[in-house]
Amino acid sequence: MIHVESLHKEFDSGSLQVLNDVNFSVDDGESMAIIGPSGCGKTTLLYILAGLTGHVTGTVMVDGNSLKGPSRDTAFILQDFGLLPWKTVWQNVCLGMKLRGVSRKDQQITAESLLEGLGLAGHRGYYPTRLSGGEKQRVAIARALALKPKILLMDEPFSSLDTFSREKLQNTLLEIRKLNQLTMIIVTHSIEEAVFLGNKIMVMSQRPAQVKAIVANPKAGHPSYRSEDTFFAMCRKIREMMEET
Amino acid sequence: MNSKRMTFSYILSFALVILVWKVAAMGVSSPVLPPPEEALHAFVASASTMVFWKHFGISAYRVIVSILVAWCLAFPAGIIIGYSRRIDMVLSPMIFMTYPIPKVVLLPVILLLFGLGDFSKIILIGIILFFQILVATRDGVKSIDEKYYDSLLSMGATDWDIIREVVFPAALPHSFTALRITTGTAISVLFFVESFATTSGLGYMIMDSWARAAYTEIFVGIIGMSILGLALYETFRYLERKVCPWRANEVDKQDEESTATSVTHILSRIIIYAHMIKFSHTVFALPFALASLVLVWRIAPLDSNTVFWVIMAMVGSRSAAMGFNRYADAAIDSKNERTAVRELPAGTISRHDVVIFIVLSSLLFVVSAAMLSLLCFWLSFPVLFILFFYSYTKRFTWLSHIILGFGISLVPMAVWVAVAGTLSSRIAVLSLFLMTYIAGFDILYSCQDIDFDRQEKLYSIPAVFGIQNALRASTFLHIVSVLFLASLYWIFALHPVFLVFVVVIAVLFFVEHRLVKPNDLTKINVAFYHINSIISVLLFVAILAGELLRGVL
Repeated sequence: MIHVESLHKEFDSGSLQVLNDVNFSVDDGESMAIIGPSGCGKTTLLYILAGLTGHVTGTVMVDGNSLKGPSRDTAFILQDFGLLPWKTVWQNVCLGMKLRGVSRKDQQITAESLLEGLGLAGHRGYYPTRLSGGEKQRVAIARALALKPKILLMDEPFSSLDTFSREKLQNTLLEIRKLNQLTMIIVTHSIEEAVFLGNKIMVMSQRPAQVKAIVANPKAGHPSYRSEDTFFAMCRKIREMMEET
Repeated sequence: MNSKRMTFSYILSFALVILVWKVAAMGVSSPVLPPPEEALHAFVASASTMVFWKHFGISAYRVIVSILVAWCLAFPAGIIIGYSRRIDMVLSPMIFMTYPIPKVVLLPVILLLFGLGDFSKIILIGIILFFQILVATRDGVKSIDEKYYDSLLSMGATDWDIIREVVFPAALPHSFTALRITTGTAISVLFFVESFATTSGLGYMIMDSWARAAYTEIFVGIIGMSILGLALYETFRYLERKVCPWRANEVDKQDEESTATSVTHILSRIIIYAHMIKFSHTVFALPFALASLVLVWRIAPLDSNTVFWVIMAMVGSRSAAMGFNRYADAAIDSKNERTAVRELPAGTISRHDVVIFIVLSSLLFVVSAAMLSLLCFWLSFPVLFILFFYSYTKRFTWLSHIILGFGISLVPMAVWVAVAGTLSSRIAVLSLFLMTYIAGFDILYSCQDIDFDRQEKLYSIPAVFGIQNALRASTFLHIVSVLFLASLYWIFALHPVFLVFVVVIAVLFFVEHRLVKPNDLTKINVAFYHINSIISVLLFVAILAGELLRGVL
């Protein structure tokens, strides 16, 4: 469980306030979508949760412990995926395991099953430049899952993809979440994506970002939700909230 | 760029250098700038001596060791400076302050400190390269996108992990690029350090030749250094691709992009033109000119200038004729499936550009002819007319094949006029061979287009008389052409070995005709092209052997 209380973050020794009194919590196995105007500080929040940005005031607790740095239970997929261009698909997927000292044999077993499951088995020798956006994202997901995380953080994971690949990957993500019982926090600027993926939707304000509202969205989690009336109603509701000043 | 295109660019640039050099040598007309063929000849002669390779080997040793040492020190240093903000803050100002200072001026100091041996030379070249590689590597590390660090840090990576997995591989190509670019500098400094206080190396060789006023030998040294530089450059290029395979795509992409820049742009245009006029075929048409030169040699002395301008005239006239043919037939080519991929109908080259190309090629031809003799200059105009006129003949007569053959058969006679200043009925027999040979295989070629020609109302023997008759006509022409060829043996009193080659050529003709069947024309293209090239080279070899061995045995 993730618990954040009265979180503040400033850059440039106080001259730039990014987060202002952010409070929320996410239960195990829950998924939360964070939505807000671009540049509002969503990404900073995600970096804080990943343990990459420190020097904050307030409380950030993961599983009852205060967060001190990158955690073994958390995997973070950056915007534009952060795949290393000089490593093949296979080497990219194995990278995290290599860093954590997983034995070669176990690396191989894990990587093989993940690539198989994500339909990348034929691409293992490719360098990322040869991959399409959707394929790159699937490699990034495989690399994250290879670390067997409990928490998955994603920053604008599908923003660079076309509608068809995006919806296909969103469905894949739902399956993966269910299968691995992942806690998931996803930052997005797409209302449809937030409504489709988040059991909770956290709407943020302009910078310095405050939490405008946290909306429960219990129906999320099924591919069929995308065409239901309640889905569109929820999208409308979120849009209205975002437009409020 | 793929390797085939690379090789092609090299050949073309080489040809261009030779041409400019030749023209300059003629313009300067001083022993200081010997003509390229003389320098190349001297180079080949030198290259077969141990002395040259001793100098070459020592130069190569000095520059390669310098490069290796410089890289081994500069690359790790560049990585550390680039990665550690604190070290960067301390060292970078110092590096950038001293960077613009020319380090060559340190030579006297280095010589005093380390003596006159190879060690000082290596140190000076090494210092200069060290800074280049260091700065390139450091900048390369600085340009690494933060997201790579973040994604590794989120997985719990240590500094060492990041250096190993991110910084090292990201900086590697930058250091290779620096190596590639500094090859020129390395060779320049090599020349500088070898120009005094030593008695070995290519630089010494150049300076020594200079002192002895042996101007041609200066160029032997220059060519040697150029080869050394080129070899190093290509080695780094190769290593960069091998060691950084993920860059292979990017390097190719950069090459494509840089075609916008002048030199590569011009080169790539030249390659497109060369494709258009099938320049490679010119290389195979050259043996006709060379064979004629061999024959005319007997009655008139030959010098390297004549040979050079004959080749230039050959290249110019063929390029002009081929370019004009593509230009005149662009509309027809675009309708024919087989030829629609040609550069002009496909839009790779504009009509305007082709006109310029034809004018330039014609100019090359006329100028070359003028360099040979005044008579050649005047005759070049009717020749151009005949070459251009051919392109229109297939619109009104099925004799177009013969006219094509006639155009090419002018080569031996033209060479004879150029060298001997008159015409001879003896050389006309070689022309008759060429005419019947070319006409015969042009008929075979046009069998591929029979349906198209009929539909477009174009004249060709297959289109007018049918495939069966066309094949007969071609066979007849080729039998006649072998007879003409054989008769050269008696006319020029060649050595009997000539007849052996004639038999081989006759067999090749036979094979060619066996490959083509009225109901199967698929073999015409590739096999023909190869066999015809072999025939043309064989013709030259036959005449050369027949002439050289005359009187022997």
